[in-house]
Amino acid sequence: MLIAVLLVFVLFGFLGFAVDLGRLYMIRGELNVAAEQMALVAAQELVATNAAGDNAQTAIDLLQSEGNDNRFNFGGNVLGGDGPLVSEIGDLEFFSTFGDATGTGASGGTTSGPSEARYVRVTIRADAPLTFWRFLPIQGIGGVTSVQTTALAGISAPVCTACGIEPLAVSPVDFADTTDFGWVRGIKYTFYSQCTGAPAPPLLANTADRLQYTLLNRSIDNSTLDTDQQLFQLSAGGIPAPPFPVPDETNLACPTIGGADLRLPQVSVAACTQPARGAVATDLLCGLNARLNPVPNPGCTNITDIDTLIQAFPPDTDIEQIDDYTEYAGNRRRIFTVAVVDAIPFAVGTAMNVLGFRQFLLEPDPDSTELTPNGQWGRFTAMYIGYPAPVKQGSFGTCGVTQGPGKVVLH
Amino acid sequence: MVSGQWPVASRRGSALLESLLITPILVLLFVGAMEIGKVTLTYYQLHKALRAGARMASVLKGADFCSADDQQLAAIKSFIVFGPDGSTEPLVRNLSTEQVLILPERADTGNAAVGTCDCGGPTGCSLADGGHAPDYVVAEIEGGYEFTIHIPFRSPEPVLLRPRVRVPFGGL
Repeated sequence: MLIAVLLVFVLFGFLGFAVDLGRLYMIRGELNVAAEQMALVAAQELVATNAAGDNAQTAIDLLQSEGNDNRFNFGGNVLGGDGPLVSEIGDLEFFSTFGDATGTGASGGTTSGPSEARYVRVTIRADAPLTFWRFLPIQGIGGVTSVQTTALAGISAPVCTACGIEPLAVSPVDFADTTDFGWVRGIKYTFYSQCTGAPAPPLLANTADRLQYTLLNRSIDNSTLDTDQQLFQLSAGGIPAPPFPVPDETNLACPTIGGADLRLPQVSVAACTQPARGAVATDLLCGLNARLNPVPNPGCTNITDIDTLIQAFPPDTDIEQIDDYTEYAGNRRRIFTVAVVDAIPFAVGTAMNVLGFRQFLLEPDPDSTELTPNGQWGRFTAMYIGYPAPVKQGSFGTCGVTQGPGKVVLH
Repeated sequence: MVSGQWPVASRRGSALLESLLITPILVLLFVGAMEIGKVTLTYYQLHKALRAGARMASVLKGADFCSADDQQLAAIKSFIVFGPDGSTEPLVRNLSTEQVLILPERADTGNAAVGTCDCGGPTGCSLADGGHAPDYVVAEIEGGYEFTIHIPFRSPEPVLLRPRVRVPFGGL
């Protein structure tokens, strides 16, 4: 009889291994998937600002908003909810180096503030029910046990091919400066549409220097939208990924360092003494303006259906004048990535060689919350910020750059 | 016969009777445990496959989530159902590519909620209509996956498994 009783416990033990352990691993897998997705959305917010931490938490809340959120225990329980199975999403942990993030660095896992963070770790703990082990007379084992998982995501090494960037190309001030190409972080620049001869267009208020830009040659040949509408979309939302503009020109969609690119033929190149820049510059600024203001600017009348088009591009949540980039608290819509090329060409067919990618923060006009799309020289103000934000999509290669924007990856 | 003791033959009969009584319970216990294990394994397989598929879909370049004919999405659905080896047998019995849904989602303008991304117009996720990539991708089994439990002498209702994964778009 004693042997039979012992065998029952042994039997329940084995059943526990077979059923409960399997279920624990299954729940852990669900938690791990949820943690990975949370880490990915949180890492997208790591743009070296003081608000990055709060924005990362908001992004996680949005990801987990009710509906199709990632759940656990056969998809039956909401993460972070109460009830019979309690779960908890831990406080986000931020790290500035990979060594700290993995605990292998010299500083051994030291966390950082959100403004220095390049990596974020998400920890989830949840109760998992026990079917058989609860009957075992082992102290500490009840109807549930705790399962915990973590996921780490961060910003990768620089990408060689960047997708989703803005269709702008600028030329360096200092070719020898591979970090900032001669631009100064925190300094505001007057961007102006390319022109020839002297004098260069006058500076906008509060800017210290000027930057000549041109537009990359991107157009959708088979689109139902006209050129003005397409340019508006490109500048409001960035260049869509392939197969854009057309399937057989997929390389054009994502500029590659070391590759050649062309400027948009429709760009009006005239003497700098002539301030009128035509529809292309206006379309560009109308698109950029959508990043600040959800209402179309009165100067954007040449963009048909702009009232509808603009709805696809929500504005930034922070449209204040920014003097210290770390104070920027928006949703990244004002951050734009440009291609740095060896020269801005005068002729349409002249190739521009892509040297890298850098980022700027779009600034509204002084005493305003938007731009002036139909202003002279196609000017607008932007602050140089280096490359803190991850690009939307991109790929690595053999370009050999050590400085530049990366993309969000899981570790 | 010694007082207070059953004969050996009688004790053997008692043990046999106990065995007969306990055996069906043990069999039910084992079969039940196996079925629970199979449900868990099936759910795990589905969840894992959907997770992999959703992640692949979230890093696609230029996929049209609103087009039923998009080749990239069709390939991902095939990956979810048949795995990476090009097998013709589904990883999970009776699962078909028609059951797999890969849905685009969009955060609203106030970033307060996430909803299904429309397929029409420039605000939607249809590239053909001038739309752009979604903010999230959800992978799930349409209507859930019915798992039939096999227990001797009983016909329980099928268990409906509803694995679902939401991943942010972009990154890789």
